[in-house]
Amino acid sequence: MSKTSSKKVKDYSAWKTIKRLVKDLKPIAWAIAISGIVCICSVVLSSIAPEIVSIMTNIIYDYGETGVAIDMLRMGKLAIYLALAYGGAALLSMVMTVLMTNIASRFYTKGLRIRISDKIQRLPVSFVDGTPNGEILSRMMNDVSNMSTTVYVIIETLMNGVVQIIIITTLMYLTNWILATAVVVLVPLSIALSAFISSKSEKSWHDFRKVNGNLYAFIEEDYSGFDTVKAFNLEDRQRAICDEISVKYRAKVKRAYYLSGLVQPIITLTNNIAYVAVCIAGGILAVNKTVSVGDVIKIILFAKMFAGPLESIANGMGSIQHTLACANRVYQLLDREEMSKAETDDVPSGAGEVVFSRVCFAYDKDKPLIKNLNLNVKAGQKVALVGPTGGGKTTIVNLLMRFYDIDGGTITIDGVDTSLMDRAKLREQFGMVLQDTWLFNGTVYDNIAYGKENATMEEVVEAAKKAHADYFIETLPNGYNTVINEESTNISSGQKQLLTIARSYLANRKMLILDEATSNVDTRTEILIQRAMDELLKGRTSFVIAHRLSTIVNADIILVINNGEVVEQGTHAELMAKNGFYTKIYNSQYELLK
Amino acid sequence: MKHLLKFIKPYTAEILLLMFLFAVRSLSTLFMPYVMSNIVEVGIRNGDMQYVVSQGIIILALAVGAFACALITNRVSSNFSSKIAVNMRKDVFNKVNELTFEQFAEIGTGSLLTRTTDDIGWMEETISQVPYVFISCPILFIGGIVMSFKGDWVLPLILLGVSVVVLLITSAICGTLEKHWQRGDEYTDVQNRVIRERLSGIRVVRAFDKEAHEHKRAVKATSEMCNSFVKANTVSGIVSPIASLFLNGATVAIIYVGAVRLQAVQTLKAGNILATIQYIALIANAVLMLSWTISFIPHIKVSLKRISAILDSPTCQESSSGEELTGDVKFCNVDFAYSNASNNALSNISVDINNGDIVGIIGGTGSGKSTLVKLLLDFYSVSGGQRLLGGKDYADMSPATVRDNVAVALQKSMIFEGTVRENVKMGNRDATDEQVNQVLEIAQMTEFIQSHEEGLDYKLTQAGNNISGGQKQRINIARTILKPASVYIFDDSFSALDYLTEANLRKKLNKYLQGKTQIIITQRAATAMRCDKVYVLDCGKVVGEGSHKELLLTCKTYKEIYDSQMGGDTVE
Repeated sequence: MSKTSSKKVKDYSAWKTIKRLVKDLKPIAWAIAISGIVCICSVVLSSIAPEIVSIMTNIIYDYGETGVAIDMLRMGKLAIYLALAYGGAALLSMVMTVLMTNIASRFYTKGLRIRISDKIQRLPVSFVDGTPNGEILSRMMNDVSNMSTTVYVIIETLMNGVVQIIIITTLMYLTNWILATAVVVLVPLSIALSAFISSKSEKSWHDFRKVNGNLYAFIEEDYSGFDTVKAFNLEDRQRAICDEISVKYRAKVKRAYYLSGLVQPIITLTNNIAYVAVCIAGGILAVNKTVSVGDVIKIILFAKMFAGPLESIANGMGSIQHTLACANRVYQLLDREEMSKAETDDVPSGAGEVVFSRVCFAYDKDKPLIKNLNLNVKAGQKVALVGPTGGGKTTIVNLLMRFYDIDGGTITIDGVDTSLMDRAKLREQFGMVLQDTWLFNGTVYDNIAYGKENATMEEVVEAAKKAHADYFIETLPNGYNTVINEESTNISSGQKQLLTIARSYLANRKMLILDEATSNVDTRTEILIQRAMDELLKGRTSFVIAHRLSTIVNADIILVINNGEVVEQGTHAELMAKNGFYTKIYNSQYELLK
Repeated sequence: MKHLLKFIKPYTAEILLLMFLFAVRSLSTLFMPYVMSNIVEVGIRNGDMQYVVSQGIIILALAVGAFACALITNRVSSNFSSKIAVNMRKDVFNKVNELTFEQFAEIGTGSLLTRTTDDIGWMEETISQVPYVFISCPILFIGGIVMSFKGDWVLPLILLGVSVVVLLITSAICGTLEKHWQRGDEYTDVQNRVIRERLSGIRVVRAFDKEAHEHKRAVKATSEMCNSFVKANTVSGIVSPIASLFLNGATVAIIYVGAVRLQAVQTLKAGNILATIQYIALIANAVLMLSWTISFIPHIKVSLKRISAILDSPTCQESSSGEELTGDVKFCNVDFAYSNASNNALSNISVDINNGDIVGIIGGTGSGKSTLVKLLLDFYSVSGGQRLLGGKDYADMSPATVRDNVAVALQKSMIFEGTVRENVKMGNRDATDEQVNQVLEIAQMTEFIQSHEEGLDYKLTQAGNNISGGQKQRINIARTILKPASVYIFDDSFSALDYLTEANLRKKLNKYLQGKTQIIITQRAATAMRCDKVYVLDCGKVVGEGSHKELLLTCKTYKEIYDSQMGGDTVE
């Protein structure tokens, strides 16, 4: 069950996200620095190349003017220099690509995905329960990969752009500082303009990523409920919902791409206007003889060269909002409140005495489910929890295992307060078989061995035999090596339960929790399992939830739970003698026989 | 490719417009440098201000024109690529819902999910680039070559030759990329699957302290995926530098050869050579862009292949005929085996159920009860025998028609994220709140609904994580009986209910469903004994049929089941 009180997470401001992104780049700062150096070298080489080209063309030009024979030796030398410059630039650019790809994927996206996976380890069960799987998946998959492509583009284009601008600016100032200043003013103007336009798309990107997450979650849910969709002919309904989300999706994505696509054309236009302005201003200066014609021409050519890097910066700016929107979602997940840390190293060392004292709990703050629950389970007792569904039986399991934390009171095991314990150490005390069986896409052997690391085949078979699963496993096409498919549809529900019981057997823990562990198993098998179980339970504390009262009549203590409270407790005989709620439940099974 | 064309086809007009706009833009790109150098060479050098201003106006006009083009292009292409992606996704999604169970299991949920989301998302990002490149490049290329041929025929020939070599090399390099993308996508599937499993089994994972193990699995898949993508990206990333190296090499050669030819051929002017060199830069740009695009193609190809595998699956798209069939169910000697299984899951099953009967199906774990339900719903085709519903052969109906007449509460109660009302109304979308409340009352859920002030609007989280197992089952039952049908199947639907609740529920249920066929799959003899007729399954075969009393006398398996329960419950 999920706790509905989880707070709404607000979007982070763009600035905060940028700072985070930069901070996250720190571990790869060295790589970025190297690629920065490589980038500078490559830009320098690529600005040397046109110089050589212009020298060579000038020679050709001079020949046209004067007709004096060309010095082919010099021409050949220049050609070799040029080839070297180009070759060097190509080589550096390859180095840069390899570096950037590795940074972007290997360190950055892989790192982020691993961080998300790592984060999942520490997220409370309540968060996972209340969040669609698709939401978490979409962040880990889509959002991170979008972050990487754009981070890649941004680093590459921005770095290239900035380096080029610096080089060009330096050269311009060396030529004429007045005209150079006039041209340089363009840079902040242009960048500010790009940033402004791109900020307009911020909301659209956020909305788009959100809808994308919804779409992912919806599709994930549909595919997991494939059989229900089929059985109820829900294809049309699902199609309609998909259409509805798609309409929203399209509106957002269209707007977002449109707005950020505006950045580049606007910058190009501004650059062109500026170019003409510089030409006219330069022309006037040249005519007035304030500046030499040669210098004016040089500056104008530089102004033209400015357009390229400015455009690539504008491009980077256009996609930055997309990155920020994705990063925002990823950081929201990474910042989710984690489970509290252990406060004690104590581990229950006794035989398993469990005490609930004045325990209160609510999934929903307004609706207390467990109110002031007191339980006293002696070591080695078999405790049965019975009562109507939704009464809080499974909740008690959730609290015992600390899938959820209690709101008040204490639960102790052998005198150790469980709320202070390390969760893993607490859970090590229990073997658990739940109502909802869970198997993963792996072999039967792997699934049983999940309960014990490095379990041998003999141990697995032994456990399967005790769970009466051995018989059916042997009839499977590949026995213990049969692969359970992704939706575990190749074995029956009862068989799934047998496998999870075998898994618990193998784990062999101090205490045992069985929540409707055999509800889909036929009763003959159940009785056989019961016998094996009783053997196993001897001397161990166990909690059993079952509707088939045959399973629990021999319990040491039966707790009748209704509305989160223990309404009656005692042995079967005592409770029957009371002629209260338990008797009513017990007799109701014969009601069905009438 | 076939599918891509299918999705693109409705937008032919948009694409033509885009192509036209791209062409205009490319032409202005061709023209702009010419005007720009004229300003400098003619205007400024000669101090001709009038010329500077007039050419400046031309530049501004060109710039505004290009800007307008870009605006329209931007609008059209964001419109077009989002539409194609959305349509593609919708088609894939709807197609997945039409897949047969075999087809679904073969690809697997995780992979289907990645294909519907990531693969299409990737295409969405790249698809709008494609027309631009394929229009602009040829225009720049051909334009550049034609212009430069005016000067000299040898120089452009060098460039042409190198361009061909570049494109060939690019194609050859990109040919090796496909396997990396493929592998990367496969590991994306694995990563998705591992995380999905981990999230849905969070309690078990934590109970066995397996978070670290699960994390390791995820890291492994992520690393494999990342390695493949890095390989692919590295290779496609070095395409550009290699291409530009060749093209720049051509530039060097052209200048040198140009100098030689200038002196050898009298008719050649220096201006021609210079112009040619300028155009080379343009052509080189075009070739570069093209080779850059070609490097994307392998990934698009892999994604398309993965999507096509879904879209090309043969499925029955026939919707329900709307025919109302009676609740007579008849199976004659039905055999069935799951694919990849060596043994039949069901053999020689014959069942005869009359309209209005309440029939129980009982049997041990793995005896084939749920498989029988799946065959009743036409989830699978049978390998032998005949199935009839309302006297009509399944072979003559679409699966949708069958499912229109059969309502089922599947064993696993699937709850979708949404309100209680939405979940129940899946049974009948036209139902009124009154009807919804009625079925919830029968399902013994009224108390639950009343305890929440939101009532029917109470929000259920994915998989019903915020309600108990019994409550999930009861919502599933309410949903089922809301559906108008002639046959109602309950597959172990009462297993999480206490006897008290079940007794009340069954009483009301029988009244509500009077005259309808009920098929109840159960483990409980107590449930079975109240049925008109019971079929006993064992190892995929019918080993007994008849009333409770008859079976006690004639069927050993049934008697054992009965004794095991009655004996157990009256243990005192």
